Amino acid sequence: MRILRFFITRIFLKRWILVLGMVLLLFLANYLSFTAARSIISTFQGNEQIETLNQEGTFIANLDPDSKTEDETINVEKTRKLYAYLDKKYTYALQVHGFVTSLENEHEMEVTFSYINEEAYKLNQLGLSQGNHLTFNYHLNQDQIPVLVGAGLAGTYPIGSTIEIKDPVTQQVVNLDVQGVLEKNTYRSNFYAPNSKNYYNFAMILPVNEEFVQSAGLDLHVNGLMDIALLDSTDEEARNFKKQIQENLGMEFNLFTQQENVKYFEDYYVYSLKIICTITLLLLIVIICLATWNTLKSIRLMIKDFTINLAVGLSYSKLRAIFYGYFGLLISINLALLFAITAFNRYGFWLRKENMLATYGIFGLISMDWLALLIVLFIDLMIGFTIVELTIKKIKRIPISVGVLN
Amino acid sequence: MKYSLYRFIDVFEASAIYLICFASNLLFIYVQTLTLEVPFVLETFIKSIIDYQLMINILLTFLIIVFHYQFLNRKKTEISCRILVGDTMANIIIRYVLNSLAIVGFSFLLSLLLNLYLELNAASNLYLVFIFILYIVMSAGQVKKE
Repeated sequence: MRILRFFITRIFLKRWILVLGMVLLLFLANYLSFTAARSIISTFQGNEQIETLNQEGTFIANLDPDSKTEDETINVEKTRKLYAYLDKKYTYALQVHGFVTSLENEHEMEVTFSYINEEAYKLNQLGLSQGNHLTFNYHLNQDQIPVLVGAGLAGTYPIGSTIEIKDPVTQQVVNLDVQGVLEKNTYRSNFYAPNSKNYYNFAMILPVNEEFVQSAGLDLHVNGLMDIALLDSTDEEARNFKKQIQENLGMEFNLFTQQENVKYFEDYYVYSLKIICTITLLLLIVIICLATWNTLKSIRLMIKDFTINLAVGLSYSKLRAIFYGYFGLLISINLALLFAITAFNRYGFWLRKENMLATYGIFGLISMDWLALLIVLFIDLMIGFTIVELTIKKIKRIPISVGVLN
Repeated sequence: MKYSLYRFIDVFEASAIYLICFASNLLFIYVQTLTLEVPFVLETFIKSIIDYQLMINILLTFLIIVFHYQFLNRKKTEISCRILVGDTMANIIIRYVLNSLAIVGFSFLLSLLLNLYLELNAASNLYLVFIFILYIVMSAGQVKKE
């Protein structure tokens, strides 16, 4: 340890510009691999969630990009009729997220309401940290509506509390009864962008049944159709539903089957991930080359110090250990820097009151960040190993007598 | 480059680093001009890098500081020898600055080929040239003998 300290303070830091150059290069490599790793992890997490819908007989609706929507032709009477038809003929999963309300809470965040029907609830299997799961057999104007609250709201609205609020989709005053608390960082991934997530820490999950859907406004109806999933259906039933939407609302929808969804993921996202990996690898190779150049230049300037120490009894294996110690220190500094930036970014969501992105985690980092940091550590170890071995090889090639006289 | 402190390998190294900095800047600008419809995952990944493009470019220019630092440290003995045989420190510094500027100019002209190929504004790299000139002027103060 004393010899390592001696080398760092008396030899490496004597030429601090070279050390700083190395730290900056390692930081670039770390940031790049961290970003790539997080993109990949997030996409796979999203896909894992969407996969629950990839079952035989499931058709996921999506508005055709070329569909012409004529807003004046869509009214709530027509959408109610469409939902009545759906209730009568189909089993479907409905989930609509993002209706903002100004419900008071200790963190002064906006609260979003997320509406979910029984089928979607069964498919999603939301984890609870406390309380009971939702029930769907309530009467809108008579009973209290059981709700689940996000972890960030559990302090203000513990289990058993009741909330009187004007519901943003039915525009009626409703009584909500907090039934359970969602696990921290429960999220929902976007069907068509699996790496994008909305966190439920400041959300309320409201169960919707047939009566609720019929009382709801156009917003819930139209938004609900965008991601609706028909379950246990056949091709013909899906076609009929598509026809119904077109006749009622004049909108063109696509209904994707399980095979199409899997193919979509493979064609679209696996391809993207391959490009991300290629870009990252190429840039990493460039950075490693620059880092190696930086190290070799450092060796050239420091060779006298190294060879004098070798001449007075320092062994090559000890020198190798010193280099590993030095790189370990550089890697630790970089990881600490990356950790601080990530934690600050995560904390930024809280400061900016971004309710759908605010997360809980150890030192502000969520599991995805820790996993990405672990991958970065692995990449750093590989870089460190390559550079140290090259350095030792280079030093061994220089005779001690030549080095001392340098 | 008569009487220059630069050898071919030094010119090659310096030019390569300048070109890396210029190319990195141009690639960032080029990616932003692309209007291709890329998948969202790819778009967010590229955006998370492009958001920090200025910082990344500035960090990369630090390599030039490293280059000048190690170059001038290595050349201390040579400078001493030159002074012994009648050269003056002022002449050595002037030659060093002019040679360094010539390398920046040469690399900038080379990078213009990439500008032309990517159909980007020729002035895109000018701010880097100013940074490099600043580094050269600063490093001129470090031209010292052993």
